[in-house]
Amino acid sequence: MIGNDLVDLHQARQESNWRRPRYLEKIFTREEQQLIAAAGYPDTMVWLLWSCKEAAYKRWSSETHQRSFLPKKIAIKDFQETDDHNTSNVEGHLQQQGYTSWVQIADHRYFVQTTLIGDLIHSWTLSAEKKLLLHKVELLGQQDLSKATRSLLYGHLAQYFRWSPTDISIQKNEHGRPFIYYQNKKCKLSLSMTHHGRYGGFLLAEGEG
Amino acid sequence: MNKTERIAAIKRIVEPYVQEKAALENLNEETDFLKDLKINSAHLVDIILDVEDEFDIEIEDEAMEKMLTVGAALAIIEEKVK
Repeated sequence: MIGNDLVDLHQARQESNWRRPRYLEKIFTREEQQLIAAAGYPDTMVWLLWSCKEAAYKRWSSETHQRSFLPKKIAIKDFQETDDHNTSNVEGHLQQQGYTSWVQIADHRYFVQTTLIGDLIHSWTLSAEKKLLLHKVELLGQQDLSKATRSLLYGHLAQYFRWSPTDISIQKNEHGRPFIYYQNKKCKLSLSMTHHGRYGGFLLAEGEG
Repeated sequence: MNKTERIAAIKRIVEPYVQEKAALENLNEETDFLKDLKINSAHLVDIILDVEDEFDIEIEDEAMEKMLTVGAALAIIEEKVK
């Protein structure tokens, strides 16, 4: 099973005030709150941790077919920066940073990877036996994001499998999980889609399960 | 406050976070905050805090877990304000 999530930091700053009273306590474990308090950029840390939880939740939800709002029961352990950090572009503005964590939900434990590039945070997780086929996140602008993310996916699927885009469709099952159909036949593929602010992306892996 | 007034209060609270404005017109107890109103899950926290402030109640984690629909929110409010 797979799951991914992205946060546009620019958008998050505009639409969410995590400094409002009781906000952090509702979402984060004590350990996570300490990480935020100790962070040089607490704003970034809030959304890094949030995207880890969201990616893990999506995978958990597709594995267990459960839905609930339980951010504090999604516990992030061993949140670490990876070594290949701080690659800056020529101007020094665009910083890239990688993170890994283990995320615990009930008796499930997931390895989650996260990247921060400029103001884009992207987290993803997939089970060890899954073969990752495509992993894309792109700047889509201020259009209808859900539609634009779908177009992005169709374009990449068409290119990857040499399919005609008109033969591709997406259908959601009763749990809200999306599946890819080619010529009206369900494909043995796992898909997780995400969009926020100006960005959209998806994760595609082999196998339906 | 009766049930209709409570639903109206919930509608007022969620409105700023709703991306699917059309679904707001037919808001009822079955309405799902994430699936139907396309509310960003990070904003569910804001809604929970707003509901706490509006009704002067405290929503514990166990209750919060279920708060995915208007009906679930209504049940939690009714339980708490008793």
